[in-house]
Amino acid sequence: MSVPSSHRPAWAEISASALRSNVLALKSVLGKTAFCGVVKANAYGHGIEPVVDTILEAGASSLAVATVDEGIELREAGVTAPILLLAEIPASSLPDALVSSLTLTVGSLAGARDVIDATRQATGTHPVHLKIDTGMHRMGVAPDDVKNVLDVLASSDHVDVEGIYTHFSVADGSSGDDRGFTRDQIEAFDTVLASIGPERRPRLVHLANSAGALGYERSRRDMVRVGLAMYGYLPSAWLAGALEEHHVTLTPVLTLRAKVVAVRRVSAGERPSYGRRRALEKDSNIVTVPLGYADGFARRLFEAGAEVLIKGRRHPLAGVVTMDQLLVDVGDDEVVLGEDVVLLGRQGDEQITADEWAQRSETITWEILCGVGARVPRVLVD
Amino acid sequence: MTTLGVGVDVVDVPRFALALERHPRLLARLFTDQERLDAKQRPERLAARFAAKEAVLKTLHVGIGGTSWRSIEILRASDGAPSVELHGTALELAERRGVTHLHVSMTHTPLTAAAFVVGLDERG
Repeated sequence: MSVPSSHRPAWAEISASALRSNVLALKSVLGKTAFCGVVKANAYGHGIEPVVDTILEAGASSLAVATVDEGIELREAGVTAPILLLAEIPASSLPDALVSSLTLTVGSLAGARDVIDATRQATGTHPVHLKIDTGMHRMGVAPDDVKNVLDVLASSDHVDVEGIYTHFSVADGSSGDDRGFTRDQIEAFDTVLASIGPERRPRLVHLANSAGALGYERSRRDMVRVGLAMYGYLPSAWLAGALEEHHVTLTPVLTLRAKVVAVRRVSAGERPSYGRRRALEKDSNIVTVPLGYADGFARRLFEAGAEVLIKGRRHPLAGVVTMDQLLVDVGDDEVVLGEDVVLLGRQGDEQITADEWAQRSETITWEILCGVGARVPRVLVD
Repeated sequence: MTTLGVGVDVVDVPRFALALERHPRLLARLFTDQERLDAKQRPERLAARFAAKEAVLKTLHVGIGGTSWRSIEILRASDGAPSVELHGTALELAERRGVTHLHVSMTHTPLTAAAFVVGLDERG
């Protein structure tokens, strides 16, 4: 395993082949429905630069981001595909968003008026997607206000209401309640859609995130917005059904790697790392790995029993995770300096997934992936 | 012969060079193999070609999302005169506007690159 050009042997390997295969797998499930690749939060921690070409080449017709800065970064990286901003933005940011040809989200009457003002001086037409709040209650126009907002948007020749969408809040849930709520959200959205009338109905109707796309066939319309699944993880295990029906699987795209930078023999009873939390039961080889909580290896993972892979085997941490390093107890295994360590990913027959970390640290897979630190180099491999 | 549009664009060369450095795959996203060959990796020449592509978009009255950068190719004849060749969606956009020919002129200093484009219907 070669180390990227960095002064510290710790990096995130981004697999282009896994990403490509995930996009193709999901597209086979989605059929004719267009694929919008969600690349917000630095492409869910994977790094925008390494992933964006593969996502588009594998057949995504557009991308989605959360902030104007993320959209500008994509444009500066030479990306010409449509880029949807998933949130309404402050009026003061609209000019920059328009210059970068970002597709705006309108989620309120005030937001619609801001867009009309901002496009007054513009040349050409600017695409806008209208977001409807069907139960998430984070942003979006209430169903009763949709007609008013559409009237405002229709008052300008510079605005093209290209899309209309909503967002699910429990599409990953498998309980009767969650399934029922998601169906209600679809129902509420369709009621809005029906009220609009065919001549004003936007061309791109989209409801589904990864969970919706896999769990609710009815939510696959003109487009779906796929985030987590594209990176090789399911929002929830029950969603695998749709993939199995099409005989496809997802593969995690990110592997977090490092190399051993120090090895020492430590006697039984010693207590490695800050806080001297746990005594070694027997004499052990203790290995230092140059990756810590500032890189996304959560400090609480020590108490939670996290393990790392060295020589294809799982080994426990020897002490609490520090900011820049962690310590591994490899027992009597002989480990040399420069030995490959896999923190997240596969080594030999063993695999540690972001789901495992999420479970141990009582969070969700999304947060684990987004948490891979900014200073960890992302290296694209095939 | 009818003039259907003009476009002009200026690119800050050091800023452009920095973007190329920051985004290792940007070069491949923006330029065709021939363009990269012609520019001999010189940032001011690449910047001039990029300015020309932006000027072509303006001439065709489309924004950044209208077509891929590589579908607008800036070529150089043996006598040094630059020309524009369109492919795919860029070609379709030009045809839709009735543009049969694009003329381009580029210039640069070490700090600034600029390009000017005229779109013509040469059938009439």
